[in-house]
Order: sequence, then C-alpha cells, then structure tokens
Amino acid sequence: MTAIAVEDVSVRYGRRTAVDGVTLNVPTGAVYALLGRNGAGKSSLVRALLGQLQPKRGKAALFGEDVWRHRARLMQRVGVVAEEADAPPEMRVRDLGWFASKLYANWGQGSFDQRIARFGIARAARFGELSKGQKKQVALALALATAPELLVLDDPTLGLDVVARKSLFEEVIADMADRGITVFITTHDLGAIESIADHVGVLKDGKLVLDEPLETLRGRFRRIRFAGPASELAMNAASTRAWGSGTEAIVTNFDEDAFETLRARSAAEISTLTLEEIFVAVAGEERA
Amino acid sequence: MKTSMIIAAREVREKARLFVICAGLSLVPFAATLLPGARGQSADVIAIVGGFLSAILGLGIAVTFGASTIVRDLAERRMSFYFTRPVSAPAIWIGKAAAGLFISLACFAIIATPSALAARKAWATQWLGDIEPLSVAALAIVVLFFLSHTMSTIIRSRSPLLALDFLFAIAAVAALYLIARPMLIGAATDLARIVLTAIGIAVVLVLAIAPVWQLANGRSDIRRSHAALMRFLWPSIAIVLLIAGGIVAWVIQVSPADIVVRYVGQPPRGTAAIVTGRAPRAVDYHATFVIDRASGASKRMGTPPWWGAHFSDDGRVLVWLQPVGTFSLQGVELHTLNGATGIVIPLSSSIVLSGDGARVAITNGKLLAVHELATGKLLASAAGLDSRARHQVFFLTPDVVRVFEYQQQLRTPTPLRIFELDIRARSIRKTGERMLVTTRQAVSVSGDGARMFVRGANVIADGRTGQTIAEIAASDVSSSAMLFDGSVALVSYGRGVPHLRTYDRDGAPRHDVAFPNVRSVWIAGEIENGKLILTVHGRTMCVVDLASGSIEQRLENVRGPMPHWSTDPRLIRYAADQEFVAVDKNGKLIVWKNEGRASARPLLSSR
Repeated sequence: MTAIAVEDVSVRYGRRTAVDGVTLNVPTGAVYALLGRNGAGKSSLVRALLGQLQPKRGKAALFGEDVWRHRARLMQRVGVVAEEADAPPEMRVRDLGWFASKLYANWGQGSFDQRIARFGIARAARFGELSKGQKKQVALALALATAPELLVLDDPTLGLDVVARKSLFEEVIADMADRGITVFITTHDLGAIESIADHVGVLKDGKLVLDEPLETLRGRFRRIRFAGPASELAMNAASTRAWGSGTEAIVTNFDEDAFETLRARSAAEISTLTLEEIFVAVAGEERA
Repeated sequence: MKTSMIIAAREVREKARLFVICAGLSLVPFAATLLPGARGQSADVIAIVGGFLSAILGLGIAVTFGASTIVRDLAERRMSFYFTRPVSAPAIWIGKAAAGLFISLACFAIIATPSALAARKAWATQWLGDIEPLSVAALAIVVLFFLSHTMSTIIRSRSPLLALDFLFAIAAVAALYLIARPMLIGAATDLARIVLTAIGIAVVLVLAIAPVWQLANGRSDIRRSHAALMRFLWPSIAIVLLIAGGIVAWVIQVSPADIVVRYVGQPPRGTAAIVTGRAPRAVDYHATFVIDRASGASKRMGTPPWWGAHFSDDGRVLVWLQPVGTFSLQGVELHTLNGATGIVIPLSSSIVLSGDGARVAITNGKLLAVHELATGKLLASAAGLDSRARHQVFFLTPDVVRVFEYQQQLRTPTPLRIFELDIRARSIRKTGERMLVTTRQAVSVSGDGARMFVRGANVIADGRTGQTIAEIAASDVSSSAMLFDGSVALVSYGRGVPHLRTYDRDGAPRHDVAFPNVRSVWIAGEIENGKLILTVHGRTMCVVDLASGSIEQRLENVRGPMPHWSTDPRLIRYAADQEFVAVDKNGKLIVWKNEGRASARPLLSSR
C-alpha cells in the first residue's frame, strides 16, 4: 500500500520551475527523507503533495486519492509540521488545542497537553509570543495529537535546540516508525535522520536525482582510493580527485568484482559513506 | 457548516476584546454632552456623535477585517495552517467572513444602540429615520467588507496581474456607464435604479462568492490566490454586466405601438409629430419617435424632446439634441431626420429653429450662435448674454434673431432685456429693457414680434423696446399667451374656478369663459381660423371660438397637441385644416381635427 504517490509532478512559479517532473512513491509505514539544498524545491514538493499547491503537471496522491481534489478529507489522516510556523499569532496555545479538537475525529487532548507541558510551554501563551523552537513544538504537538496515519515534517528541526532535536528524531519519529506510521520528512539534519529513515530522496534543482531505500543507497556508494589514474576505475564515479599520486573516487555503483580487479592491479582501499557524504557527492556541486 | 462555525467561533473569540472597547466607546456620545457648547442640546449631540462614531468605526472595522481576514494570512504565509487541516476552502471563507461581518456589525450595534435608544427622537431627526440609517450602515459594512477583501488581495499579492485588474476595472466601469447611459438619456430613473441595484446586488454576491473560488484554487499561495480570484471575479462581473446590458438593450427596444404615450408635439403644418412614451416593460424609460401620421412611418429619436427639439413651420425639418458619440454626456449634437449635422454644442444649450427650417439659433451661457443647418456653417455669433439669466429666442425674420433675457425672480423686480442679432451684419444690440417680476417662460410674443405679453406684470408691451402699451387687470394667472395677431388669452382664477379671458391688442376685455368643476386650464395652441386650443383638467381638449367666446369642440379623455420643447416665445399657430396627433386615456395615439365633432380616430394599432 502506498501512502504517498507523486507522479511526474512539476511546480512552477511564473517562469521558474521549482519542481521538475518528480515521481516518487512512499510505502505505508516507511520513513522517507527528502533531502536537498536550500531552494532545491523540497517545500514546493511538500506543498504539492499536501494539496496546497496545484502542480503545473502531474498528480500527487495520498492513500491512493488525488490530494488536490480530496485535500480536506485526506487531511483528517495527515499530521503536518510546516517549514514556517503558520498558526495565527494571536491564538493562545490552549485555543489551538481547542480549535484542532473540533476538527479532528481522533484528537488526543491528553497527548497535546502532555507534550506542551513537557516542553514547558504555557497554555495561555499566544502563539506569536513563543520562540521559534516552541512554535515548532506546538506545531508538532498539534500534528501528533491528531493520531495521523501520515506525518509530514517540513524541516522540523529548524529552530529546535539540541535536546528537542534529539527528542524529535529518537523518540517521535522512531516511535512513529515503530507504530507503522508513515513519515515524510525534509531535513538538513542528515546525521540524525540516517539512523531512522528507510527511504531517501534527493532533490537537485527541482529534479529528483536519487530515490531509493537507504540500505540500497549505502550499498551503492563507496569511497575508493587507489594508486592509479581515474581511468583505471571501472565503476561510475560521482566525483574523483587526486589523492597523493593516486585517485580518490566516490562511486555510485559499487561492484565487488570490479573493486577486486582494481585492487589486484594497484594498491586500493575502500570505505563506506555516511548519508551526509552521499548527499554531498550527489547534490554538492555549486550551482552554475 | 459545522467547520465554518468552528472557524468563525475561533475568530470571534480571538477578537472578543473589541466588543469591550466598543462598549467603552458607546459612552463617548454621552460624554460629549458635557462639552461646553453641547449644553441644552444633549439629545442632538448624543444622536450625532453616536451616529458618526458607530458608522465610522463599524465601516472602519469592516474595511480592516475585510482587508486582513484572509489576505494577511496569505501575505504572511499562514494560510497553510488551515489548508493542512480537514477544512474545505468554502468552510474557511464562510467561517472567516461570517466572523468578520459579525464582529463589524456587532461593534457598530454596540456603539450605536445606547445613543439610538437614549436619544431616539433626535436620532430619527438627525439621521432621517429610525431603522433606515441603521440598515444603510449595516449594508455598507457588508459591501465594504467584501470589497476590501478583493482590493486587498489584488494589492497585497504584488502580482503583475494588478495591471490586468486595473484594465478590467476600467472596462467594467465603462460597461456600467454604457448600460446606465441610455437609461439616463431616456429619463428612466426608476429603471436605472432597478438595473443598477440588481447589478450592485449581483456584484456584491460575486464579491462574496469569489473568495471561495480564490481559496479553492489559489489555496495558500497569495499570487495563485490572486490569479484564482481574478479568474472568477472578472468573468462573473462580465456576465452580470452582459446580462444587465442585454436586458437594458431589450427593454429600450420598443416600437411606437408598444408605448403608453405621455407627450405628443407637432408643427403648425405637415404630418409629422414627436411622440414620447413608456413601454410597460420599460418601467419609466421614455422612447421617442418622429411619426408621420399620414403614412404611419416612424423613426426613433435618440433623446426625449425635453433635451431640445423644434420643428420648422411646415413640419419638414425637425432638429433635436442628442449626446455625441457613445461615451460622452458632455456635449450634444444637433440631429435632423437626415442624421447628425456635425454641429456639436454644450449640454446646457437651447435651440430654436427658424420658421423655414434653414437656420438654428443656439444659446449657451453668454453665447448666441446661428448655424446653417444643412452645412453646419456658423453664420453669426455673439457673446455678452447673461449666463445666469433665462433666454427666450426666436427668428423674427430668417436674418434676425430676437432674444428676451430675464432673471427668474418671483418677488424682486429685475430687468427684462431685449436683444436682436443681425445675422447679415453679424452684430447684436440691445433694443429694449424694462423692469419686471417674472415667472418661468414669462414672455409670449405676437406672430410678427411687434408686441409681447409679460406674464406676472400682465402688460402688453412693445416686442422690440419693451415699452408698455397696455396693462391687463388680471390676477392669479396660470397660463397666458399672446396670440398671432397681438391679442391676449389668459387663464386666471376667480373663486377657485378657472376662466379663460381674452383681450384685444390694446388690452380691452373681450370674452370670459368659465370652466366650473375643473382644476386647471392650459392654453395649448392657436388655430389659424380664429380658434384657441385648451387642455382642460389635463385630460380634455377644448376648442374655443375666439370671435364668439364659445366652446366649439370638446374631446374627453384626449390630450394633445402639447407645447414644443424650445425657447420660442410664440404660441404655436396650427393650420386650419391641421389634424392633431393626441393621446387617449390609455396612452394610445389618436388623431382629431377641428371640424366640430367630438371624435377622434386611432393612429396606430397596438401589437
């Protein structure tokens, strides 16, 4: 069962293309991390798959239903933390809870109150008076209290302190994943998401240049250092550079046999890559 | 609906403080009575201050809320708060709009009610009614709320589409003007009120519904929101205006047989007549035609005759004023049965045609000009008339135009000045002056222009110099005319009964004809065979034989002919064998003749 299905979606702002022909599928229960540099089109894609923005081309579906047409109904099953705090600034935290409680069938007032209390946020405080991190916490509390089947987090750690950030990844998202709730997250915190995500997508200049399970990704990418010139490498390289008198390459289709052949010919060593290193290799070059 | 109410309740809860502030402000009118100048007029002060304060604040809050309730969230990228909830676009708009309107109206009521109750009488006096001003203010609050939302979306999106909005707005205003223009020209105030009210209601409905489309299709992005609003707003307004324009075009397309005639006028000779009336479907729109009573043929005139219309003596030439082009209401152009003459003059001008129909004299402000009608050529002109005065003008001869200039003063004597414009010499000179207390159209002149009768002063005077020839002892004169030969006929009231009294050229009484049980008698024209045509009680035509002073012919439920809409001071003198176009009690055209019979025949058969 697919929780999110994005099919050939393009989003444009005037003449500028923010998202260009993206197709991706997120299975139910997966934790999907959408990565990309600033301006790569992550938030535009999130808005399109939440039915807030009509794609110029293509279609986005949640739980098999067109999200543009059935947004209101589908949002009953989706918890969202937007990139920017979007609750009305004059609203008090308790009123936000009251408001959401009237809209969601599965609203958990206890869950909301507990989370607000845990982060020391006054229920009588106005949303506009809260710090950036507190606003994120309130937004997260609202999203989680709806008992969502899908949690969409658009850069949720922006403004969070280290403790809150750790809590988000280790407790919240991990807990969601354990409970089989689909999580779709965009983040720059690659170190933290690496241990939780099971699918990764990378957007570069609006195009989805990478979309696969994290394990497959880790298996494909290797750093290889060898004594010979780059031409001796019989694998695809995302990047190569001089390493002493030899070459250092990040390969995107690591092949055990090819590596053994290389090692037989010249001194070669191999190491795995972190998600951050893979991301830099894929999306790291400066834009023209 | 439940979701809308939740959103509305949220908004109202958030703004509840406003109600407390307004309750405090409702005391301001009472505090104002303590000001030094307000003592002794407490009720008036409470009513005036309360009315102003509530209206200004109510409207101000409506504008502020209309401009911010959705658009501020869009501009500050907060609409995603609603769009990530299980809330439909209509529910968001209905909830937010309901809250905005409720708060605006409640604030208005909170401020207005105490002062309206405390000074109820003064409130009704100062604001011309009890409920009406409150209703108008409430309506204005609703309209301003929706309008300010639209304006705010357009302006705050900072989209290049703003230029298109501006163009569409201009086009809409132009279309509205084009719809209203024929109604204004046709004196259709009721029709215009109905059509413009319907357009207003439709536009307010469009403004109220458009944001649903805006949010459903533009959602949380302000520029897309603006574009979505435009896509609904302008086509809807275009449809409203097209429908209104179509209805107006249909309503004003009537034939002479459709109309209930209210005015008929005709020349001394010939078979032409001007007919103005209202078709039942056209409410109060006046359609005007020139008809030929002999053939039944008709031609539509662009304006009713009171814009200015005049026949030549033989009825072959008719000149009338009609607005220039499609847009302008500034200038008018002289038209004849052959089409536009190219002579364009200011709207406030008056025209008089020469007896032969070759020349037309135009007065406007200080100017008097004479044009040749066939070519439009300016033959002569003169400045120096008093622009504040009334002018009665006629062609004494084809080459001489005489002007009577006087102020319309009912109590204070003012000068009556007489001028003559010599067209050949292209010069104007004052030929006479006298003081008088005037009334409207005070002067009537004999056929040769040698004598005039001045109503109000009731004197027969020299038509050129204004010197008194004879005085007539008559009071309470309602209608008067100097006849072709210089004798005088007037209608005066004795013991509430109108009498037609006639006098000879020197003012000696000749006949006195009483019209008992009648409220009014008007002199409508003269017939060459020594007869006078009277309109009695507004619905009976009488022909009086001037020689014997007896009523010779009486036609019940007939009106017409009627006076011309020109400034010619001479009574129309119809040919002895002229057939008169008139109106029966049903507003249908009939024809009668002075032949001693009390009968008339229909002119056009109804559809």
